[in-house]
Amino acid sequence: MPTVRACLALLLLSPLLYADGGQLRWTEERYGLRVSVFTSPTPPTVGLLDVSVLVQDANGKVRLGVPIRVRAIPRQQPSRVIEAMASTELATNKLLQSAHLELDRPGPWRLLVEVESVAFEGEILIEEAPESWWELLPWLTWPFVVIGLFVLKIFLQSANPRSSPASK
Amino acid sequence: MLPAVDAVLRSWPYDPSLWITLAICAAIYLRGWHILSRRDPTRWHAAQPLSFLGGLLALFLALGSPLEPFTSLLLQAHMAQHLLLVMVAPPLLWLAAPFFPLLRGWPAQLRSLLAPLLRSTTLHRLFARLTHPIGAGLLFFLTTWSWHLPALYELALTSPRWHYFQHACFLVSGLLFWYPVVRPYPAKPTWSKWLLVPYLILTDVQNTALSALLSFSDEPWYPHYAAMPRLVGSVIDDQIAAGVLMWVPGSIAYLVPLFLIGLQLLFPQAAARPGQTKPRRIALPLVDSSEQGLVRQWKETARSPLPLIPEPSPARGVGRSHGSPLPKGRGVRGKGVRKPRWDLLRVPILGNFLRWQFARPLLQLTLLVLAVVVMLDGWLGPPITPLNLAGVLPWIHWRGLLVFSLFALGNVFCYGCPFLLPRTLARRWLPASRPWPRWLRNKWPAIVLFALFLWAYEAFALWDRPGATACLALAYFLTAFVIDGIFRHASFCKFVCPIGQFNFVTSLVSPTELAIRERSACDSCTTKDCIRGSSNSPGCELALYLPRKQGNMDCTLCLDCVHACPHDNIELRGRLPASELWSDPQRSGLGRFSQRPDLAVLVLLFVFGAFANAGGMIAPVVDWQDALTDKLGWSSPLPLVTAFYVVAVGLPTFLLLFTSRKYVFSLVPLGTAMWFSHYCFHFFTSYEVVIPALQRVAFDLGWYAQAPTWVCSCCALVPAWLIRAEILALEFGLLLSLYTAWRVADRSPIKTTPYAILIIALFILGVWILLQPMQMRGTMMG
Ligand code: SF4
Ligand code: SF4
Repeated sequence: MPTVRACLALLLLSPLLYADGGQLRWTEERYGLRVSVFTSPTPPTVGLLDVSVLVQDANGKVRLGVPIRVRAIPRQQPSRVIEAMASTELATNKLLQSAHLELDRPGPWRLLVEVESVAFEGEILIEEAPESWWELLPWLTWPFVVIGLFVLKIFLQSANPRSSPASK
Repeated sequence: MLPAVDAVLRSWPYDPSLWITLAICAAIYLRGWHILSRRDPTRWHAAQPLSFLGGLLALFLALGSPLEPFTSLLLQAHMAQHLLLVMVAPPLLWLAAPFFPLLRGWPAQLRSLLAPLLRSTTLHRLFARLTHPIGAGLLFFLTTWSWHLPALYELALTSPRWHYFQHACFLVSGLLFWYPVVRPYPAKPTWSKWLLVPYLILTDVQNTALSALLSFSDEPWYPHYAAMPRLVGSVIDDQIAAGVLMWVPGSIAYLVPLFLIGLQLLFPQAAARPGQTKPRRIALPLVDSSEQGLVRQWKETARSPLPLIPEPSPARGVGRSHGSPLPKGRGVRGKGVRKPRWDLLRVPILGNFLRWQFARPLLQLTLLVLAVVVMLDGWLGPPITPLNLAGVLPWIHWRGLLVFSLFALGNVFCYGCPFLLPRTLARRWLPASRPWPRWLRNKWPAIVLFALFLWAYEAFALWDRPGATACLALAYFLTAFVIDGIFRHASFCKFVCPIGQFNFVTSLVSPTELAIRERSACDSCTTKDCIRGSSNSPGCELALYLPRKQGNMDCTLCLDCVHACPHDNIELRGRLPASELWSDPQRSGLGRFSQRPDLAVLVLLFVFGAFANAGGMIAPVVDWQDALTDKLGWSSPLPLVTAFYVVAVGLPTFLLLFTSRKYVFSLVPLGTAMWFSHYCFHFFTSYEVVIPALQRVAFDLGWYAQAPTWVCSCCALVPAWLIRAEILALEFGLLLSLYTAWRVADRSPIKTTPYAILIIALFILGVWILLQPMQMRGTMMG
């Protein structure tokens, strides 16, 4: 079914979450591990959040396939934990590993990235999701560009009646 | 291979919109080039499509290859991406002389839309200025330098929208810059070619200056890259590499054409190919095809860099110049002679299958078995919608696939309709000889049933009652059996069946149509088997006489006429969706649409029914209905649902009947798009519910070891692409409806305006409905 879905998405011009990193949140080095955490979309909003993690050793050599667990905890409700394992499959840039978290409320969230039992922590401010019509604005307005061009064509035709089919 | 290198090479971004855009461009170009090269193979040679595909490949490598995900990590990757956009793709695209092939590749109707714009002298003048070496050089310089300023570059790196804009600027300025250098056919610049020498030298100088500044700087220019984790070398190393990339390949890109152009200028004789003659040019023979018009247009456009057209060959006549990418003039096409069209019945395998005598019964039998299983499960299975095949298959899968097939192909459901198999039985047992009553030979019976169905579906929540759904299907079978057992021909399909009417109206925007191949064959045909029938087929039982058949209305795609025609003169050809609505001819078996009030009512019911049906299940309407029912103290929502349908469907139908009837049909594309978007939503969000339902059936029958582990579809995320796809469908409906109104109004802006306002208002309403939370009917709730 994922294949079918992917094919349909392809057919229907789906713009998906790219998971190619996004905005760099922080870089931290501990216990010989250098971890860089990226999030997408920018700015992060309520809904699906892509967290991509780049793991390097102290020399900057990329470490691939390290188990990474990502946790998000809302500041206002510390007992709630949303977590997911990161994987290369979800990442576009295969040097990174990505996890998708469904964050359901705006405000500050703690982001915990656990790499080989070493925890790296940062904070992220989740904004209200924009009105869907606002997000879709370019998607919604293109027909009106086509309509505008068509009106322009009519205008040009009436300005130059020689070229109008009606004048024949 | 090193694991890191392997990971880099596997980092392909997922961007279907890019793939589809490039594929569409390639298809249009190749189609146009193919047509042109058949007419003039010396002008249109094989290197051009290769060059065009090379240009598209460069765009793909820039935006859709593993380069893209690394552009935010490494400046050198970003630089390589920009070089592909500015220095590789544009010259390759221009070397393909893309103007004519791209124009010729479009369907004629779309070309005729573009033609007036391309003829605009203002546009010609603007393009001439922008592609003059001074204009193009200045623009290129400004674009390159301004986008390398740290503030603007950082802006592009932090905002995806600005990033797209930056890429667009680079590509457009690259295209304008390379145009005077390549001068793609049919460009005819009026400035001296010597101007290209300083043009290319100065560009190389500014490129060298910028790359030297970047390479020799001790400070990182862009804080974004300074903050990034280092994959290779330091941030300064990265900046130096980016500068060198810009410097060396950039210089090569400017100096090689400079060298070649210098050679051409110094040794013009050597540069010309032996035997090469200068092509003569004339103006676009678009509409004004008189000789006088040609001369006049030639004078007007001879100095323009926009496409001119090679002189027509005398044998072909003025209107069919061998290179013309634009629509042929009227009267050019010879009577009775036309080029072969795409015919689905001739497509290998699929065409053979469709023409096979037993294809239809086989499909009908398969669907009949499925219908019987659904009905049995509806009666015998648990009355829980998502666990019952009758609660799932008809309302989610069948409806979704129905609209999808109508949009993509045509009235495929009527082709495989299982309700017609009992008809075959009925005709064996019952007389089936009476004519359908004259006063009922219209769509009114079907309209009443269609309206009743729309109302009952909502009022009695049919989607939530598997038993009632099964009874409805049985009633359908019985009605078809009785009517077709008593009356002659396909009376049930033509006058009674509401599903059939839905399919007939939707198929007005289908991309295929059954029609005759050659009129001359029909003119000389004496048997007229397509309507009278033959020994192996009854002929058209819906009274559509093929030589006079227009469009898809009332056609069940049964292919009886195809089997009957002794001259194999019927094709299932491709056409522009909704094109049959652009005129109002006398149609066989139907008359003129504008003289059929029943058809107008059917269409209005179909259109407003689409909005009411979708609107009835969105959160604001449901909440409002619940609140009002509580407030009024009613125990049942029935009166409110009834009132909703009267106001949302009955009232506009009634009011619009007072307008000119012919305009009503322009609403069909938008209505179809609304049904499509709505049903696709249910299909794509809930198609998986069939799995637990099937597991349950198998478990009940003892074929499956355990009770189903269900997918709770109501909890699934609505994928982001789905809403965009729904809106896209609605937008195509909008444009097609507006264009249909324009054609119906004889291209009069004033007459079009009232209906255009109505269409746009309905479109906005449709978008609002689609953006609301919608009930996931037929799935597991919370
Ligand atoms: S039987 Fe065939 S050839 Fe004859 S009128 Fe019908 S379509 Fe034309
Ligand atoms: S025109 Fe042909 S395909 Fe259409 S309903 Fe009549 S017989 Fe069937």
